[in-house]
Amino acid sequence: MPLLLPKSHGITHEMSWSGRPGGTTWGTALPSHATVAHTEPTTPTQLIASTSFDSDWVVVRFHNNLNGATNTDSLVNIKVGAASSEVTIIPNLMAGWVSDTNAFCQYTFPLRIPAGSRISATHRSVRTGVNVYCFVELFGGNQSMHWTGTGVEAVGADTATSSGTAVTPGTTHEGTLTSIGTNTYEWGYVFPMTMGNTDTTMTAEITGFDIATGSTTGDVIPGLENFWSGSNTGEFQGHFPDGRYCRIPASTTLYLRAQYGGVAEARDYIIYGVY
Amino acid sequence: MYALTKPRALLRESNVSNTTRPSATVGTIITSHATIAHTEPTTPTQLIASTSFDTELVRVTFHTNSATATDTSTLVNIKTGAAASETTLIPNLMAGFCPAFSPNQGIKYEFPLRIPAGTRLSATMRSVRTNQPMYCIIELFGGAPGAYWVGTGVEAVGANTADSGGTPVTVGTTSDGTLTSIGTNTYDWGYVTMHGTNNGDTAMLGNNSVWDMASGSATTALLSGLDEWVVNGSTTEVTYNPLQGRYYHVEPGTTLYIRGQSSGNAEDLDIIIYGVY
Repeated sequence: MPLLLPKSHGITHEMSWSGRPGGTTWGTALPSHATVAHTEPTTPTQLIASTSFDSDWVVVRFHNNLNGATNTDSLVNIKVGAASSEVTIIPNLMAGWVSDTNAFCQYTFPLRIPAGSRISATHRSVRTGVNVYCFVELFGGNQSMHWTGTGVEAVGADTATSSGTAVTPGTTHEGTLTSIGTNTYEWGYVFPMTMGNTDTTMTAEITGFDIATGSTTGDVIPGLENFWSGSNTGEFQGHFPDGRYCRIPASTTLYLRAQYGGVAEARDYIIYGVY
Repeated sequence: MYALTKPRALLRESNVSNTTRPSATVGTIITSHATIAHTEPTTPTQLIASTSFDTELVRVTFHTNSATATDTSTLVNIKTGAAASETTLIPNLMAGFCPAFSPNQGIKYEFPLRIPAGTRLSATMRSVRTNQPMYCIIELFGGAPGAYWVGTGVEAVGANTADSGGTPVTVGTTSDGTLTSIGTNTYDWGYVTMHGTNNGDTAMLGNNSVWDMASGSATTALLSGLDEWVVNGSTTEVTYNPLQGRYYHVEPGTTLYIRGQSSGNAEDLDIIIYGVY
Protein backbone atom coordinates (compact mmCIF):
# COMPACT_ATOMS: atom_id res chain seq x y z
CA MET A 1 0.00 0.00 0.00
CA PRO A 2 1.49 3.37 -0.96
CA LEU A 3 2.24 5.88 1.74
CA LEU A 4 -0.53 8.47 2.04
CA LEU A 5 1.38 11.59 1.12
CA PRO A 6 -0.38 14.92 0.71
CA LYS A 7 -0.17 16.39 -2.77
CA SER A 8 2.61 18.86 -3.35
CA HIS A 9 1.48 22.47 -3.38
CA GLY A 10 3.84 23.43 -6.13
CA ILE A 11 7.36 23.02 -7.29
CA THR A 12 10.04 25.35 -8.44
CA HIS A 13 12.04 24.78 -11.56
CA GLU A 14 15.30 26.28 -12.73
CA MET A 15 17.59 25.41 -15.58
CA SER A 16 21.04 25.92 -16.95
CA TRP A 17 19.44 27.15 -20.18
CA SER A 18 16.88 29.81 -20.92
CA GLY A 19 15.19 31.64 -23.73
CA ARG A 20 14.44 30.43 -27.17
CA PRO A 21 14.84 26.75 -27.92
CA GLY A 22 17.88 26.06 -30.02
CA GLY A 23 19.30 23.52 -32.39
CA THR A 24 22.61 21.72 -32.43
CA THR A 25 24.21 24.08 -29.92
CA TRP A 26 21.25 24.26 -27.51
CA GLY A 27 22.43 24.22 -23.91
CA THR A 28 25.86 24.82 -22.42
CA ALA A 29 28.92 23.64 -24.36
CA LEU A 30 31.21 21.47 -22.26
CA PRO A 31 34.64 21.21 -23.93
CA SER A 32 36.87 18.24 -23.36
CA HIS A 33 40.50 18.86 -22.44
CA ALA A 34 42.21 20.82 -25.20
CA THR A 35 45.20 18.52 -25.57
CA VAL A 36 45.02 15.48 -23.28
CA ALA A 37 42.52 12.69 -23.87
CA HIS A 38 40.63 11.12 -20.97
CA THR A 39 41.46 14.06 -18.72
CA GLU A 40 39.17 16.59 -17.08
CA PRO A 41 39.78 20.20 -18.07
CA THR A 42 41.33 22.17 -15.24
CA THR A 43 38.47 24.60 -15.03
CA PRO A 44 34.89 23.29 -14.81
CA THR A 45 32.26 25.05 -16.90
CA GLN A 46 29.63 26.81 -14.84
CA LEU A 47 26.04 25.72 -15.44
CA ILE A 48 24.12 27.54 -12.70
CA ALA A 49 25.75 30.32 -10.63
CA SER A 50 23.63 29.80 -7.51
CA THR A 51 20.61 27.55 -7.15
CA SER A 52 17.60 29.38 -5.81
CA PHE A 53 15.91 26.58 -3.85
CA ASP A 54 16.54 23.15 -2.35
CA SER A 55 16.36 20.75 -5.28
CA ASP A 56 14.96 17.24 -4.90
CA TRP A 57 15.01 16.15 -8.58
CA VAL A 58 17.82 16.67 -11.08
CA VAL A 59 17.57 16.15 -14.84
CA VAL A 60 20.75 16.15 -16.96
CA ARG A 61 20.62 15.95 -20.76
CA PHE A 62 23.40 15.70 -23.33
CA HIS A 63 23.34 16.00 -27.10
CA ASN A 64 25.52 16.57 -30.16
CA ASN A 65 28.60 14.47 -29.43
CA LEU A 66 29.05 11.92 -32.19
CA ASN A 67 30.80 11.46 -35.48
CA GLY A 68 30.50 8.75 -38.11
CA ALA A 69 33.05 5.92 -37.83
CA THR A 70 34.56 7.60 -34.77
CA ASN A 71 34.94 6.66 -31.12
CA THR A 72 33.28 9.48 -29.16
CA ASP A 73 33.47 8.04 -25.64
CA SER A 74 32.91 10.79 -23.05
CA LEU A 75 32.26 11.06 -19.34
CA VAL A 76 30.90 14.15 -17.60
CA ASN A 77 31.18 15.07 -13.92
CA ILE A 78 28.54 17.37 -12.46
CA LYS A 79 30.02 19.42 -9.63
CA VAL A 80 29.04 21.78 -6.85
CA GLY A 81 31.11 24.43 -5.15
CA ALA A 82 32.72 27.78 -5.72
CA ALA A 83 35.18 28.30 -8.55
CA SER A 84 38.43 26.45 -7.86
CA SER A 85 36.77 24.49 -5.06
CA GLU A 86 34.40 22.27 -7.02
CA VAL A 87 33.60 18.75 -5.86
CA THR A 88 31.86 16.11 -7.94
CA ILE A 89 28.29 15.35 -6.94
CA ILE A 90 27.28 13.25 -9.99
CA PRO A 91 30.27 11.33 -11.38
CA ASN A 92 31.04 9.88 -14.78
CA LEU A 93 27.84 10.40 -16.72
CA MET A 94 28.15 8.72 -20.10
CA ALA A 95 27.87 11.46 -22.72
CA GLY A 96 29.34 10.10 -25.93
CA TRP A 97 27.73 8.63 -29.05
CA VAL A 98 24.82 11.06 -28.61
CA SER A 99 22.99 12.71 -31.45
CA ASP A 100 20.77 15.76 -31.73
CA THR A 101 18.00 17.14 -29.54
CA ASN A 102 15.54 14.59 -30.91
CA ALA A 103 17.54 11.96 -29.09
CA PHE A 104 18.76 13.50 -25.86
CA CYS A 105 20.83 11.33 -23.58
CA GLN A 106 18.80 12.01 -20.43
CA TYR A 107 19.51 11.19 -16.78
CA THR A 108 17.12 11.69 -13.86
CA PHE A 109 18.11 11.53 -10.20
CA PRO A 110 16.06 12.17 -7.03
CA LEU A 111 18.90 14.15 -5.49
CA ARG A 112 18.97 16.91 -2.91
CA ILE A 113 21.07 19.95 -3.81
CA PRO A 114 20.87 22.79 -1.27
CA ALA A 115 19.83 26.28 -2.29
CA GLY A 116 22.77 28.53 -3.04
CA SER A 117 24.84 25.82 -4.71
CA ARG A 118 26.95 26.66 -7.73
CA ILE A 119 26.64 23.92 -10.37
CA SER A 120 29.38 23.22 -12.90
CA ALA A 121 30.63 20.35 -15.06
CA THR A 122 33.70 18.85 -16.68
CA HIS A 123 33.92 16.69 -19.77
CA ARG A 124 36.61 14.06 -20.33
CA SER A 125 36.74 12.33 -23.69
CA VAL A 126 38.74 10.13 -26.00
CA ARG A 127 38.66 13.19 -28.26
CA THR A 128 40.35 16.43 -27.30
CA GLY A 129 38.87 19.87 -27.75
CA VAL A 130 35.36 18.70 -28.59
CA ASN A 131 32.08 19.85 -27.10
CA VAL A 132 29.12 18.02 -25.73
CA TYR A 133 26.04 20.16 -25.04
CA CYS A 134 24.53 19.91 -21.58
CA PHE A 135 21.26 20.89 -19.92
CA VAL A 136 20.74 20.71 -16.18
CA GLU A 137 17.24 21.14 -14.78
CA LEU A 138 16.43 21.28 -11.08
CA PHE A 139 13.05 20.75 -9.44
CA GLY A 140 12.08 21.22 -5.81
CA GLY A 141 11.23 24.04 -3.51
CA ASN A 142 8.45 22.31 -1.64
CA GLN A 143 7.84 19.15 0.31
CA SER A 144 9.23 16.28 -1.70
CA MET A 145 6.77 13.85 -3.24
CA HIS A 146 9.36 11.12 -3.57
CA TRP A 147 12.35 9.68 -1.77
CA THR A 148 15.40 11.86 -2.28
CA GLY A 149 19.06 11.01 -1.77
CA THR A 150 22.11 13.12 -1.14
CA GLY A 151 24.67 11.72 -3.56
CA VAL A 152 25.19 9.70 -6.71
CA GLU A 153 27.65 6.85 -7.16
CA ALA A 154 28.77 5.38 -10.49
CA VAL A 155 29.78 1.72 -10.71
CA GLY A 156 31.67 0.47 -13.74
CA ALA A 157 33.19 3.72 -14.99
CA ASP A 158 36.64 3.61 -16.57
CA THR A 159 38.08 7.12 -16.60
CA ALA A 160 41.22 5.90 -18.37
CA THR A 161 39.10 5.31 -21.47
CA SER A 162 36.28 7.76 -20.77
CA SER A 163 33.87 4.85 -20.84
CA GLY A 164 32.39 2.05 -18.80
CA THR A 165 32.65 -1.70 -18.44
CA ALA A 166 32.29 -3.73 -21.62
CA VAL A 167 29.59 -6.37 -21.73
CA THR A 168 29.16 -8.75 -24.64
CA PRO A 169 25.49 -9.43 -25.32
CA GLY A 170 23.82 -12.60 -26.33
CA THR A 171 21.81 -12.71 -29.50
CA THR A 172 19.47 -15.67 -29.61
CA HIS A 173 19.74 -15.95 -25.82
CA GLU A 174 20.73 -13.82 -22.86
CA GLY A 175 24.39 -12.90 -22.62
CA THR A 176 26.67 -13.77 -19.72
CA LEU A 177 26.16 -11.90 -16.45
CA THR A 178 29.27 -9.73 -16.23
CA SER A 179 30.56 -8.00 -13.12
CA ILE A 180 30.27 -4.22 -13.39
CA GLY A 181 31.59 -3.34 -9.95
CA THR A 182 30.70 -2.95 -6.28
CA ASN A 183 28.82 -0.03 -4.75
CA THR A 184 30.08 1.67 -1.61
CA TYR A 185 26.84 3.24 -0.44
CA GLU A 186 23.31 1.99 0.16
CA TRP A 187 21.26 2.99 -2.87
CA GLY A 188 17.58 3.89 -3.07
CA TYR A 189 17.38 4.56 -6.81
CA VAL A 190 19.10 2.89 -9.75
CA PHE A 191 19.78 4.29 -13.22
CA PRO A 192 21.89 2.32 -15.74
CA MET A 193 23.33 3.68 -18.96
CA THR A 194 25.10 2.26 -21.99
CA MET A 195 27.42 3.72 -24.62
CA GLY A 196 29.46 2.47 -27.57
CA ASN A 197 32.87 0.97 -26.98
CA THR A 198 36.00 1.40 -29.05
CA ASP A 199 34.35 -0.25 -32.02
CA THR A 200 33.82 2.59 -34.49
CA THR A 201 31.45 0.72 -36.75
CA MET A 202 28.41 0.43 -34.58
CA THR A 203 25.63 -1.88 -35.66
CA ALA A 204 21.96 -1.00 -35.51
CA GLU A 205 20.51 -2.82 -32.51
CA ILE A 206 17.68 -3.00 -30.04
CA THR A 207 19.01 -4.05 -26.65
CA GLY A 208 17.42 -5.36 -23.51
CA PHE A 209 19.51 -5.72 -20.36
CA ASP A 210 19.12 -6.95 -16.79
CA ILE A 211 20.97 -6.17 -13.53
CA ALA A 212 21.88 -8.87 -11.01
CA THR A 213 23.72 -9.42 -7.74
CA GLY A 214 25.68 -12.40 -9.00
CA SER A 215 26.68 -14.37 -12.04
CA THR A 216 23.76 -16.78 -12.20
CA THR A 217 20.30 -16.22 -13.61
CA GLY A 218 18.77 -16.59 -10.17
CA ASP A 219 20.67 -13.50 -9.09
CA VAL A 220 18.79 -11.13 -11.43
CA ILE A 221 17.27 -8.45 -9.21
CA PRO A 222 13.46 -8.40 -9.40
CA GLY A 223 12.39 -5.09 -10.87
CA LEU A 224 15.74 -4.38 -12.52
CA GLU A 225 15.05 -6.41 -15.64
CA ASN A 226 14.52 -5.27 -19.21
CA PHE A 227 16.11 -1.88 -19.51
CA TRP A 228 16.05 -0.83 -23.18
CA SER A 229 18.45 0.93 -25.50
CA GLY A 230 19.06 1.19 -29.22
CA SER A 231 21.71 2.22 -31.68
CA ASN A 232 22.24 2.90 -35.35
CA THR A 233 25.01 2.69 -37.89
CA GLY A 234 25.68 6.43 -37.60
CA GLU A 235 27.57 5.63 -34.37
CA PHE A 236 24.59 6.78 -32.34
CA GLN A 237 23.56 5.13 -29.08
CA GLY A 238 19.93 5.74 -28.21
CA HIS A 239 18.88 5.75 -24.59
CA PHE A 240 15.67 4.99 -22.81
CA PRO A 241 15.87 7.10 -19.61
CA ASP A 242 14.80 4.56 -17.04
CA GLY A 243 15.50 5.23 -13.38
CA ARG A 244 13.87 2.91 -10.85
CA TYR A 245 13.40 3.18 -7.10
CA CYS A 246 15.03 0.03 -5.73
CA ARG A 247 17.14 -0.53 -2.62
CA ILE A 248 20.61 -1.92 -3.23
CA PRO A 249 22.55 -2.65 -0.02
CA ALA A 250 26.06 -1.23 0.28
CA SER A 251 28.92 -3.45 -0.95
CA THR A 252 26.79 -5.26 -3.51
CA THR A 253 28.69 -6.46 -6.56
CA LEU A 254 26.44 -5.68 -9.52
CA TYR A 255 26.35 -7.78 -12.67
CA LEU A 256 24.73 -7.04 -15.99
CA ARG A 257 23.70 -9.13 -18.98
CA ALA A 258 22.37 -8.00 -22.34
CA GLN A 259 20.59 -9.42 -25.32
CA TYR A 260 20.59 -7.87 -28.80
CA GLY A 261 18.15 -8.13 -31.63
CA GLY A 262 20.93 -8.61 -34.17
CA VAL A 263 24.58 -9.57 -34.03
CA ALA A 264 26.65 -9.48 -30.86
CA GLU A 265 28.62 -6.30 -30.28
CA ALA A 266 30.08 -5.35 -26.91
CA ARG A 267 28.93 -2.08 -25.37
CA ASP A 268 30.04 -0.25 -22.26
CA TYR A 269 27.80 0.06 -19.22
CA ILE A 270 27.77 2.12 -16.05
CA ILE A 271 25.22 1.70 -13.27
CA TYR A 272 24.39 4.80 -11.23
CA GLY A 273 22.85 4.77 -7.78
CA VAL A 274 21.43 7.52 -5.61
CA TYR A 275 22.18 7.15 -1.92
CA MET B 1 10.74 18.15 2.86
CA TYR B 2 9.46 14.77 4.10
CA ALA B 3 12.01 12.22 5.26
CA LEU B 4 10.82 9.29 3.19
CA THR B 5 12.48 5.97 3.75
CA LYS B 6 14.45 4.23 1.06
CA PRO B 7 12.34 1.90 -1.05
CA ARG B 8 12.57 -1.82 -0.53
CA ALA B 9 12.44 -4.43 -3.23
CA LEU B 10 11.00 -3.51 -6.60
CA LEU B 11 8.60 -5.56 -8.68
CA ARG B 12 8.12 -5.24 -12.41
CA GLU B 13 5.91 -6.82 -15.02
CA SER B 14 5.17 -6.05 -18.64
CA ASN B 15 3.33 -7.22 -21.71
CA VAL B 16 6.82 -7.90 -23.09
CA SER B 17 8.31 -11.02 -21.61
CA ASN B 18 11.79 -10.83 -20.16
CA THR B 19 12.70 -13.69 -22.47
CA THR B 20 11.56 -11.90 -25.62
CA ARG B 21 14.43 -11.16 -27.93
CA PRO B 22 14.80 -7.39 -28.40
CA SER B 23 13.63 -6.16 -31.78
CA ALA B 24 12.00 -3.25 -33.55
CA THR B 25 8.66 -5.06 -33.32
CA VAL B 26 8.63 -5.59 -29.59
CA GLY B 27 5.31 -4.96 -27.85
CA THR B 28 1.65 -5.70 -28.46
CA ILE B 29 0.14 -4.63 -31.76
CA ILE B 30 -2.93 -2.49 -31.30
CA THR B 31 -4.96 -1.54 -34.37
CA SER B 32 -7.26 1.34 -35.19
CA HIS B 33 -10.85 0.76 -36.29
CA ALA B 34 -10.98 -1.23 -39.52
CA THR B 35 -13.23 1.17 -41.42
CA ILE B 36 -14.12 4.26 -39.37
CA ALA B 37 -11.58 6.97 -38.59
CA HIS B 38 -11.43 8.51 -35.12
CA THR B 39 -13.36 5.63 -33.61
CA GLU B 40 -12.32 3.08 -31.01
CA PRO B 41 -12.46 -0.54 -32.14
CA THR B 42 -15.26 -2.44 -30.48
CA THR B 43 -12.97 -4.90 -28.79
CA PRO B 44 -9.96 -3.66 -26.81
CA THR B 45 -6.68 -5.49 -27.23
CA GLN B 46 -5.50 -7.27 -24.11
CA LEU B 47 -2.08 -6.21 -22.80
CA ILE B 48 -1.85 -8.07 -19.47
CA ALA B 49 -4.36 -10.76 -18.46
CA SER B 50 -4.02 -10.23 -14.70
CA THR B 51 -1.53 -8.00 -12.88
CA SER B 52 0.43 -9.83 -10.25
CA PHE B 53 1.01 -7.05 -7.69
CA ASP B 54 -0.26 -3.62 -6.66
CA THR B 55 1.27 -1.24 -9.19
CA GLU B 56 2.62 2.18 -8.20
CA LEU B 57 4.17 3.36 -11.46
CA VAL B 58 2.93 2.80 -15.01
CA ARG B 59 5.09 3.36 -18.06
CA VAL B 60 3.55 3.21 -21.54
CA THR B 61 5.66 3.29 -24.70
CA PHE B 62 4.31 3.54 -28.25
CA HIS B 63 6.33 3.07 -31.38
CA THR B 64 6.10 2.79 -35.15
CA ASN B 65 3.14 4.95 -36.11
CA SER B 66 4.27 7.54 -38.63
CA ALA B 67 4.58 8.10 -42.36
CA THR B 68 6.21 10.88 -44.31
CA ALA B 69 3.87 13.68 -45.41
CA THR B 70 0.98 11.93 -43.70
CA ASP B 71 -1.32 12.85 -40.83
CA THR B 72 -1.00 10.00 -38.32
CA SER B 73 -2.93 11.54 -35.41
CA THR B 74 -3.78 8.81 -32.91
CA LEU B 75 -5.18 8.54 -29.39
CA VAL B 76 -4.92 5.43 -27.20
CA ASN B 77 -7.02 4.52 -24.18
CA ILE B 78 -5.54 2.18 -21.57
CA LYS B 79 -8.33 0.21 -19.94
CA THR B 80 -9.00 -2.08 -17.00
CA GLY B 81 -11.65 -4.73 -16.54
CA ALA B 82 -12.78 -8.07 -17.84
CA ALA B 83 -13.43 -8.61 -21.53
CA ALA B 84 -16.56 -6.76 -22.66
CA SER B 85 -16.59 -4.78 -19.40
CA GLU B 86 -13.55 -2.55 -19.87
CA THR B 87 -13.40 0.97 -18.52
CA THR B 88 -10.78 3.57 -19.40
CA LEU B 89 -8.09 4.15 -16.80
CA ILE B 90 -5.67 6.32 -18.83
CA PRO B 91 -7.48 8.24 -21.56
CA ASN B 92 -6.39 9.71 -24.86
CA LEU B 93 -2.65 9.16 -24.88
CA MET B 94 -1.22 10.88 -27.94
CA ALA B 95 0.42 8.18 -30.05
CA GLY B 96 0.59 9.54 -33.59
CA PHE B 97 3.59 11.02 -35.39
CA CYS B 98 5.40 8.32 -33.46
CA PRO B 99 8.87 7.09 -34.47
CA ALA B 100 10.13 3.55 -34.68
CA PHE B 101 11.43 1.87 -31.53
CA SER B 102 15.07 2.34 -32.40
CA PRO B 103 17.06 4.40 -31.82
CA ASN B 104 14.75 7.14 -30.60
CA GLN B 105 12.57 4.82 -28.62
CA GLY B 106 9.08 6.00 -29.55
CA ILE B 107 6.72 8.06 -27.38
CA LYS B 108 6.85 7.41 -23.64
CA TYR B 109 4.58 8.25 -20.73
CA GLU B 110 5.02 7.65 -17.00
CA PHE B 111 2.31 7.93 -14.36
CA PRO B 112 2.56 7.29 -10.60
CA LEU B 113 -0.70 5.36 -10.61
CA ARG B 114 -2.08 2.61 -8.42
CA ILE B 115 -3.49 -0.43 -10.20
CA PRO B 116 -4.57 -3.25 -7.89
CA ALA B 117 -3.21 -6.75 -8.28
CA GLY B 118 -5.41 -9.01 -10.39
CA THR B 119 -6.38 -6.31 -12.88
CA ARG B 120 -6.75 -7.07 -16.59
CA LEU B 121 -5.25 -4.35 -18.79
CA SER B 122 -6.18 -3.63 -22.39
CA ALA B 123 -6.05 -0.80 -24.91
CA THR B 124 -7.89 0.72 -27.83
CA MET B 125 -6.49 2.92 -30.58
CA ARG B 126 -8.43 5.56 -32.49
CA SER B 127 -6.74 7.24 -35.43
CA VAL B 128 -7.20 9.40 -38.48
CA ARG B 129 -5.98 6.31 -40.34
CA THR B 130 -8.14 3.18 -40.36
CA ASN B 131 -6.90 -0.35 -39.78
CA GLN B 132 -3.49 0.97 -38.81
CA PRO B 133 -1.31 -1.10 -36.44
CA MET B 134 1.20 0.26 -33.95
CA TYR B 135 3.10 -1.15 -31.01
CA CYS B 136 2.34 -0.65 -27.32
CA ILE B 137 4.59 -1.61 -24.42
CA ILE B 138 3.24 -1.31 -20.90
CA GLU B 139 5.47 -1.70 -17.85
CA LEU B 140 4.22 -1.83 -14.26
CA PHE B 141 6.36 -1.21 -11.19
CA GLY B 142 5.46 -1.75 -7.55
CA GLY B 143 6.63 -3.15 -4.30
CA ALA B 144 8.41 0.02 -3.14
CA PRO B 145 5.74 1.51 -0.85
CA GLY B 146 6.33 5.00 0.37
CA ALA B 147 9.00 5.98 -2.15
CA TYR B 148 6.72 8.44 -3.93
CA TRP B 149 3.19 9.82 -4.15
CA VAL B 150 0.77 7.63 -6.11
CA GLY B 151 -2.66 8.53 -7.53
CA THR B 152 -5.64 6.43 -8.55
CA GLY B 153 -6.63 7.84 -11.95
CA VAL B 154 -5.47 9.84 -14.95
CA GLU B 155 -7.32 12.70 -16.62
CA ALA B 156 -6.54 14.18 -20.04
CA VAL B 157 -7.28 17.83 -20.77
CA GLY B 158 -7.33 19.09 -24.35
CA ALA B 159 -8.02 15.85 -26.21
CA ASN B 160 -10.16 15.99 -29.32
CA THR B 161 -11.44 12.53 -30.09
CA ALA B 162 -13.16 13.81 -33.24
CA ASP B 163 -9.78 14.24 -34.92
CA SER B 164 -7.72 11.86 -32.75
CA GLY B 165 -5.63 14.82 -31.66
CA GLY B 166 -5.37 17.52 -29.06
CA THR B 167 -5.85 21.26 -28.90
CA PRO B 168 -3.88 23.17 -31.54
CA VAL B 169 -1.56 25.87 -30.23
CA THR B 170 0.47 28.17 -32.45
CA VAL B 171 3.99 28.63 -31.17
CA GLY B 172 5.85 31.89 -31.09
CA THR B 173 9.20 32.21 -32.82
CA THR B 174 11.30 35.08 -31.55
CA SER B 175 9.05 35.40 -28.50
CA ASP B 176 6.70 33.21 -26.51
CA GLY B 177 3.39 32.43 -28.21
CA THR B 178 -0.04 33.32 -26.89
CA LEU B 179 -1.29 31.50 -23.82
CA THR B 180 -4.05 29.28 -25.21
CA SER B 181 -6.76 27.55 -23.22
CA ILE B 182 -6.42 23.77 -23.30
CA GLY B 183 -9.31 22.88 -21.02
CA THR B 184 -10.42 22.50 -17.42
CA ASN B 185 -9.60 19.60 -15.14
CA THR B 186 -12.25 17.84 -13.09
CA TYR B 187 -10.04 16.19 -10.47
CA ASP B 188 -7.42 17.31 -7.96
CA TRP B 189 -4.10 16.48 -9.60
CA GLY B 190 -0.82 15.59 -7.91
CA TYR B 191 1.28 14.88 -11.00
CA VAL B 192 1.33 16.55 -14.42
CA THR B 193 2.75 15.59 -17.79
CA MET B 194 2.05 16.61 -21.37
CA HIS B 195 2.62 15.70 -24.96
CA GLY B 196 2.58 17.57 -28.24
CA THR B 197 2.33 16.16 -31.74
CA ASN B 198 1.71 17.70 -35.07
CA ASN B 199 -1.89 18.31 -36.06
CA GLY B 200 -3.39 17.87 -39.53
CA ASP B 201 -0.36 19.59 -41.05
CA THR B 202 1.49 16.92 -43.00
CA ALA B 203 4.65 18.93 -43.59
CA MET B 204 6.29 19.17 -40.19
CA LEU B 205 9.10 21.68 -39.93
CA GLY B 206 11.45 19.85 -37.59
CA ASN B 207 11.58 22.45 -34.84
CA ASN B 208 12.44 22.23 -31.19
CA SER B 209 9.90 23.91 -28.96
CA VAL B 210 9.47 24.65 -25.28
CA TRP B 211 6.13 25.05 -23.51
CA ASP B 212 4.87 26.80 -20.38
CA MET B 213 1.62 26.02 -18.54
CA ALA B 214 -0.54 28.62 -16.84
CA SER B 215 -3.83 28.94 -15.01
CA GLY B 216 -4.94 31.92 -17.09
CA SER B 217 -4.22 33.87 -20.24
CA ALA B 218 -1.87 36.43 -18.70
CA THR B 219 1.83 35.99 -18.14
CA THR B 220 1.23 36.48 -14.43
CA ALA B 221 -0.82 33.28 -14.45
CA LEU B 222 2.15 31.10 -15.41
CA LEU B 223 2.54 28.16 -13.04
CA SER B 224 5.98 28.15 -11.47
CA GLY B 225 7.49 24.75 -11.99
CA LEU B 226 5.33 23.86 -14.99
CA ASP B 227 7.49 25.80 -17.40
CA GLU B 228 9.89 24.79 -20.17
CA TRP B 229 8.50 21.45 -21.32
CA VAL B 230 10.48 20.24 -24.31
CA VAL B 231 9.04 18.89 -27.58
CA ASN B 232 11.21 18.00 -30.56
CA GLY B 233 10.02 17.48 -34.10
CA SER B 234 11.39 16.12 -37.33
CA THR B 235 10.71 16.81 -40.99
CA THR B 236 9.85 13.13 -41.35
CA GLU B 237 6.60 13.83 -39.47
CA VAL B 238 7.54 12.49 -36.07
CA THR B 239 7.76 14.15 -32.67
CA TYR B 240 9.82 13.22 -29.63
CA ASN B 241 9.38 14.10 -25.98
CA PRO B 242 11.86 13.41 -23.22
CA LEU B 243 10.20 11.81 -20.18
CA GLN B 244 9.35 14.85 -18.09
CA GLY B 245 6.40 14.32 -15.72
CA ARG B 246 6.36 16.50 -12.62
CA TYR B 247 4.74 16.26 -9.19
CA TYR B 248 2.51 19.31 -8.95
CA HIS B 249 -0.79 20.09 -7.29
CA VAL B 250 -3.42 21.42 -9.72
CA GLU B 251 -6.76 22.06 -8.05
CA PRO B 252 -9.96 20.80 -9.68
CA GLY B 253 -11.75 23.29 -11.89
CA THR B 254 -8.51 24.87 -13.07
CA THR B 255 -8.55 26.01 -16.68
CA LEU B 256 -5.11 25.21 -18.02
CA TYR B 257 -3.42 27.34 -20.64
CA ILE B 258 -0.21 26.70 -22.53
CA ARG B 259 2.16 28.68 -24.72
CA GLY B 260 5.07 27.55 -26.84
CA GLN B 261 8.14 28.97 -28.48
CA SER B 262 9.84 27.37 -31.47
CA SER B 263 13.42 27.29 -32.60
CA GLY B 264 12.27 27.87 -36.18
CA ASN B 265 9.15 29.04 -37.95
CA ALA B 266 5.69 29.12 -36.41
CA GLU B 267 3.77 25.88 -36.62
CA ASP B 268 0.74 24.58 -34.77
CA LEU B 269 1.17 21.62 -32.47
CA ASP B 270 -1.64 19.71 -30.83
CA ILE B 271 -1.30 19.62 -27.06
CA ILE B 272 -2.83 17.41 -24.37
CA ILE B 273 -2.07 17.84 -20.66
CA TYR B 274 -2.39 14.80 -18.40
CA GLY B 275 -2.89 14.77 -14.65
CA VAL B 276 -2.78 11.98 -12.09
CA TYR B 277 -5.33 12.35 -9.30
